[in-house]
Amino acid sequence: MIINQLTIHEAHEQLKARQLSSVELTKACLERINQTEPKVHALVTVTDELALKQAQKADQLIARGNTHPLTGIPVIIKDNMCTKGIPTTCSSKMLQNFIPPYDATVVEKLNNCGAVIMGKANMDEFAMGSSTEHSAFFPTHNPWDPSRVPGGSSGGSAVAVAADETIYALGSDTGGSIRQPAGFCSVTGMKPTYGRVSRYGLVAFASSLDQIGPLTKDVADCAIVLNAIAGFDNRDSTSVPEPTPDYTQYLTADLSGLVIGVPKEYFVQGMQKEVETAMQAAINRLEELGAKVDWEVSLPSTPYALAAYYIIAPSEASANLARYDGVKYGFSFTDTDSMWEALEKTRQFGFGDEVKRRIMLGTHALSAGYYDAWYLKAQKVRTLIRREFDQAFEKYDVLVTPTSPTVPFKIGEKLDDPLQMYLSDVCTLPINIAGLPAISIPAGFGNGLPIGMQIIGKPFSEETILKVAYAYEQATEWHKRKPQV
Amino acid sequence: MTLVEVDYLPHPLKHPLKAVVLGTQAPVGGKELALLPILRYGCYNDHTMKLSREEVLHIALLARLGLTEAELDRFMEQLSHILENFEVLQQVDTTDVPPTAQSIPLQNVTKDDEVAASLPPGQILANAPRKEKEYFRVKAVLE
Repeated sequence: MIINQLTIHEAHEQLKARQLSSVELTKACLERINQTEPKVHALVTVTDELALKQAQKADQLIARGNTHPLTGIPVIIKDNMCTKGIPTTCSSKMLQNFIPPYDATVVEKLNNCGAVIMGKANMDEFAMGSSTEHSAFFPTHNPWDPSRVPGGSSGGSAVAVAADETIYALGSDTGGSIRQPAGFCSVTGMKPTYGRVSRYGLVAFASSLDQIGPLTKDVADCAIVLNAIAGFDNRDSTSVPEPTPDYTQYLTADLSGLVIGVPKEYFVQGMQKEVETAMQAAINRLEELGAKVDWEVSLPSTPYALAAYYIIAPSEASANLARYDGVKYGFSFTDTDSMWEALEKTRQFGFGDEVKRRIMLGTHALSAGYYDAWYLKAQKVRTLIRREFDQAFEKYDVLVTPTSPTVPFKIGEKLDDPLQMYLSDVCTLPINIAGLPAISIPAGFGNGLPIGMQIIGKPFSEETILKVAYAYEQATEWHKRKPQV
Repeated sequence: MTLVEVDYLPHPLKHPLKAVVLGTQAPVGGKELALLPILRYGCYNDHTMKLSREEVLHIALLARLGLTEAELDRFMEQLSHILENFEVLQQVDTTDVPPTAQSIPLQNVTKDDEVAASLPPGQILANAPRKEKEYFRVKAVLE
C-alpha cells in the first residue's frame, strides 16, 4: 500500500481504526511532493510545518473520538482562496507578496473539520486560462506526459491529486477551470451549482460565474468534500439558502429509471476522434447500467456560448480587477510622483498578458457605444442558453458530454493564439453561463492521454450527477490508473 | 464640466448611438498614453470588428493599463481577431429576450444592520505598499 495514493474514504477508515496516523499520511504526501514537484511544478507554496502541526492536532482529535471524514486528511488549496497567514498569490506578480488576514469560508470549513493544509496550488494568473501556462511563476506539467499541459486554470490542484501529492484538492471553476484540468489529468472534479458553495474569500474573477469545488481521486471523495464545503454563508450574498443533503447517501450503482440526454452540439467540429470514441463507449456503458439514453438532444444556442462567455467573463473581470491599484495591497509601482502613472505602471507590471487581454476585452465590451452590441447582447444570449438547458431538464435527469474536445495539448502549443486556447473550454463554459452543476470523471484514454466525461445536472441536483458518476466509475477502472511520475 | 453633443459615424452593429461627452478626460500623468477624448465613437474602421491603434489606446486608458509599443501592436491584432470571431453573436435573434446578469433567483440580499467584529487596522494595513499611521499612503491626487 502506498499511503499517499489513498482516497479520502480509504484513509479515513485507516485513521479511524488507528492503523494509520495523520502525521504518517501527511509525511507520505510531503515526501511525494519532494519527489514529484521538480517534474510537475503543481505547487506555489508548500506549508509543511503547518501541515505537520495540523496533522498532530488531527491525531489528537481522532484519539478523542472525532470521526469527521476529513479530519487528518491532507488537502491542497488553489492559490486564489484566502488562507490566513499563508501567501495567496493567484499566481500573479500582483499578489506575489499578499498574505490574507482572513480565511475563505471553504478554508475555514475545512479547518473546522480538522483538515491538514499542505500548500497552495499553481494556476493560470487570476484563474484566467485553460493550461496553467499563464501562471506568472512557472507552468505546471501534466503527470501523464510532462511535455503537455494539465489544463487550467486549476491545473496545479488537478496535478497535485493526479500525482498523489495530496489526497484531495480544492479548485475554482469560472468556465471549466475545475472540470477541464480534471479531465486532462484523469481525476474527478466538480463545479457545484452557482450559489451552492460560498465564494467568500475566493479572489474574484467573474462574480456571476465563479464557483469553488472539489478535485478528488474518486466520486465518493467528491461527495465527502462537497458535504464539507457546501451550504449557505451570509458573507456571500450570492450564496443560496437551499438545504444541502448528505451527498454520500446517493452513491448507488443502479441507474434504472434515469433518463440521460446527449446534446449533439457538444460533439463539435475539431473534436478528436479518440475523444468521440471514448465518449460513445462511456455513454453505452451508462445505458448498460440501466439508464435510458437519448442521443439526439439539441441545445441550438451552444455555438454562441463561447463568444457570450468571453464577453461576459472578461467584462466582469475588468470590473473586479479594477481594485488592483497598488494602494491597499499587492504590487505597487512607486517610482513616480504622478498618481496616474503609478496606477498605470502598477497594472502594467503587475498583470500578465492574458489578464491584460481580458481586462481590455471586458473594458471594451462595457465601454460607451459598445455596451449594447457586446455586453447586453451576450447577456441576452445567456438567457437563451439557460432556457434551453431548463427545457432539456424537463425531459432529462442529466446531460452527458465530453469535458474537452481534445486530449491534453502540448505546452506552448496554444500560447500565442488566445482564441484557440479559449476553444479548449467550449464544452464546459456553457454550464457556468447557465449556473448549473457538472462533474468531470475519468472516461478513458487516447494514446495514453486522459479523456474526461462531463455530467451536467439541473440547478441544485449535485446528488443526481454524483449518482451517475458513481455508477459509471464503479463499472470502470479508469480512475484507478496512475501516471508514472 | 461641459456637455458637448457629438455626432457619430454609423455604428457597425446598427445600434443608433446618442451620447454626450462629459467634459474632457481626467488628467493622465504617464508619458506613454497620449491624451484622448473620453468618447471616441468616430474611430470605427469601415464596419469591421478590427480595433484601431487609437481604440486600443483608448481601452487601455479606460482600464488604466500602461502598455508598451510592442504590447499595443500585439493586443491590437489579438483583440481584433477575437472580436471578429465573436461577431457570430450578432446572428442570434434576441428580440424580446431579457438579459441575464446572474443565474440564481436571488434579489436584493440584505443583512441586518448589526454590529459585528471586524479586522483591526493593523491587519488591514499589513499588506499596504505604503502606509502612514493608520492610513494608506497615496500619491497626491490634486496637483
